[in-house]
Amino acid sequence: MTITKAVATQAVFYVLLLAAWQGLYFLCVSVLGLWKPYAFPNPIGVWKSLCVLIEQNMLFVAVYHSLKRAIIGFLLSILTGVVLGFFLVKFKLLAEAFKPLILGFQTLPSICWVPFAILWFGLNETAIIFVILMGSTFSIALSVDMAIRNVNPLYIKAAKTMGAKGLELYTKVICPASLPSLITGLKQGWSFAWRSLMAGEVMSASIGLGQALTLGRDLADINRVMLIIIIIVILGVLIERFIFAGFEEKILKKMGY
Amino acid sequence: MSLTIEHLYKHFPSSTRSTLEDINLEICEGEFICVIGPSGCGKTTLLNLIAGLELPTKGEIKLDGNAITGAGPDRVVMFQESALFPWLSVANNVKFGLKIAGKSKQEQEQTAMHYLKLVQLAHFKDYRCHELSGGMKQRVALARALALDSKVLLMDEPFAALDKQTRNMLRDEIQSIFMKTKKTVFFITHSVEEAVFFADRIIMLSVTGKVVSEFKVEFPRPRHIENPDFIELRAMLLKEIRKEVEKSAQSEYDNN
Repeated sequence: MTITKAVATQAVFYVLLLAAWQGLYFLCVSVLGLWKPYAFPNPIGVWKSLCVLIEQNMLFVAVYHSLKRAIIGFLLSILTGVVLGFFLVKFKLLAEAFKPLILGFQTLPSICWVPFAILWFGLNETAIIFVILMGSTFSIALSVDMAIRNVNPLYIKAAKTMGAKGLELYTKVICPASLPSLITGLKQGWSFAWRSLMAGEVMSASIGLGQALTLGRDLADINRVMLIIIIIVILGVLIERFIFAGFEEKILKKMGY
Repeated sequence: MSLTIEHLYKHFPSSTRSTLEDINLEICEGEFICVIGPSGCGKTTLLNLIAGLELPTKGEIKLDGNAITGAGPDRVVMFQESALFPWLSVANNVKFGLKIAGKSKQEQEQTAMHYLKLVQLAHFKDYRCHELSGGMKQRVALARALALDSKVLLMDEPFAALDKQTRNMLRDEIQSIFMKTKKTVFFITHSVEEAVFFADRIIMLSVTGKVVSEFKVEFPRPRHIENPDFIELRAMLLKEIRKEVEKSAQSEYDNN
């Protein structure tokens, strides 16, 4: 009951938003002529763009390619990020020296890696995946480091007095204890990966959502640009809601958090 | 089983004086030792040293003749807070140490159920720890500690985080459990009453981390706190400990 109510509220909100948007467009572009039609998108135009892209079978291909890259890049980032994170935990002295650098790399916008990517790998898949990797590895590494450091020391003490040591301490205590914050870290890593993907795709010319966006700009088709932005936002929300949130809830419930 | 502590010193680098100074103790099989003292006297440090969670600055602790160099399941600790693992069920918490020791599935199950029955929580075996009350959590923690059948059980103010009512109930329950298991226990508490209730021997530490006195408690078990002898001993110990606390307050004033 409350869920349907929430959905209904949201639906009404978005319908009103679309209506207001179209009204604003009509008023400012068509009636008053304040804005140029090529610089201001409108819902009807976006809808038409959508129909064109679907008709030409460009949309699904672009979404497919982008998602594939994002997932590959993200999985690789998890791998390198977790290794780097463990390294930060394990070698405290080196970590002290490295952390500011990693923190800096994490805040560096991943678009900065695009020139390197193109020079090293050319205008291809590998270049984009490299940009994703650089964009999300450091964030994942830092959250792995933090998740492990924040494990309640009492759990580790208790496990030690019950005979756990070495690797067992990691697999049986530190990993499960740090899982909740680890999942949060991975979620953040994903959003970095998704942003980096767009940076990579806009700059290089492989098929994907970023390229579709650039194409929209080149064709001076502002409605298409808007459409791609909306699709990117919707995909982001869907992945967050249905993949991460579901995963989080299931795991955390199972683990009793 | 014998646990001997010889000329034990502990000095933390951050502190200006020794936390523990020249501690000498011998604990025999089946003995229930309670350590009391004003807060900050190093009770918990002493327990951590026996547990192997910290290492002494000088001196030695030997269990059956072997010097302690690290934590191990022959000296299980029950902590102030339950320290149960929230990602495991009650039964799996109790089985944790048994699994690490490589016991068979069947043996894990049997031992866990035996001790859960002993603390009267067998029905809660599939519960999550966050579904239990504070007193129940400490009972699970006790079952978990007993299940490993360690040579000595170290208890660090296990009732400190509980309300008075729960504490009193648990106290009686634990007394009857220890009358059955005859375990060697090293018990830290700030409550004189608890010490008189449980101990065969009470060790009092001073603020400076030295053993000031030792008392043998020879009342028969089960003990009752209304017993006149009990009340007398408790009053005497309270007086002693008050002297210690005053001394510590005095030394703090002197330093300022």
